[in-house]
Amino acid sequence: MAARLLAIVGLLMVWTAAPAAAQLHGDHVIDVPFDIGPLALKIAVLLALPAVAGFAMLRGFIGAPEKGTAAFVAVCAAVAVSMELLLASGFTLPPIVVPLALAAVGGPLYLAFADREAPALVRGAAPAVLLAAAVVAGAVFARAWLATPPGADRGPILHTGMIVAYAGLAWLTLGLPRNRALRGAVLTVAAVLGVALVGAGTQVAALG
Amino acid sequence: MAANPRVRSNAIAALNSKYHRVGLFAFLVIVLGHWAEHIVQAVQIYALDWPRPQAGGVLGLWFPWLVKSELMHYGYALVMLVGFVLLRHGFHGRARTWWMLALWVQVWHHFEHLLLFLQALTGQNLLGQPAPTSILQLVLPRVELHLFYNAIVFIPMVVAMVLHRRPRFDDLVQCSCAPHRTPAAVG
Repeated sequence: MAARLLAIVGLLMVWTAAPAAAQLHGDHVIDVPFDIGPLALKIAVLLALPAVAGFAMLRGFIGAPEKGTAAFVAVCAAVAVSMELLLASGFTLPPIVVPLALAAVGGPLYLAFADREAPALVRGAAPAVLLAAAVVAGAVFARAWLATPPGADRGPILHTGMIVAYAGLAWLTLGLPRNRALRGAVLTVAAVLGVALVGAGTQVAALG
Repeated sequence: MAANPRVRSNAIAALNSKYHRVGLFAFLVIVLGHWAEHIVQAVQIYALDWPRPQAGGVLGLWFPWLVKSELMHYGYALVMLVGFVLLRHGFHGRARTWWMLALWVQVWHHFEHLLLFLQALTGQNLLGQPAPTSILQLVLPRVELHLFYNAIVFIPMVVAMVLHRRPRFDDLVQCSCAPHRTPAAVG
């Protein structure tokens, strides 16, 4: 049976290779009959931003989120990352960070809708992912606000920081450290990142 | 079909039992039709030496806008995703593993097409690129990415269907497409 399966897979790969070689996706003049402009994307981001940032700032006061709340925040973070990718006019980190950020935001989203609880390993790793994202986003925001000369375009830098921040804050829905001091540190970092997210979001909105 | 708590409605339950064979056949026709179009395109380009913009498959010759529209590509990705989701309850054992693999690859493929569709719809290209761009095009060299996606969705899908039609004893199911064999006859 295994040999037969292997033969089927091999045949299918040969079969699918010909059309794959024949067609360039870029050859589709990718279009739709109308253009609605970026307003809908901006509205989606402006709706998602306060949900994620607000959750980050209030997480220390509201306790562990219910399943529905976690799902809502995870959906908002995923929508925000997707919309930011379209609204950003550039990305100031290596391109590999983009699929990593999408994977990072997809994890909590999947777990929020999964029938089972998040595995203990994932819950344990959640604060580390959040802190790593906070360090990267913090460095990007610092570059935008402190190291960019007046008049220079801060838009791509701020969008980059926001994408990383959303991806990190999505993990706040999964768990916190048991250690009281570590828990306080993670909540503080999350709250500061939430404030930075609001600041960056406001600034890119003002920049247009 | 054995009672499955995940089967939420009678329609889906019927689709995954009494009408599973019909459902899978219809799904396969859609998928093979899509592949047939691309194979015709390959023949037009490599055998007939047509210029790529003119090689529109079969439907593209009568409806050129159809091939060029991201709406059609997104629609196909969505139909595929819906098919994978609706028909998944009928699969069991190894067949289900392969079907779910195809489903998750299609989830990502659909997301890529959703982003392409949004780029076309809003005029905002991914990260300021000059043309609508897929996520993986940011990190991989220019390849026939979406045909590659179609292939890696199609292969596990077919494997799932083959395993579904030739189940081991522990994979035996009672939907309309399962062969009518007694457990003793199953090798």
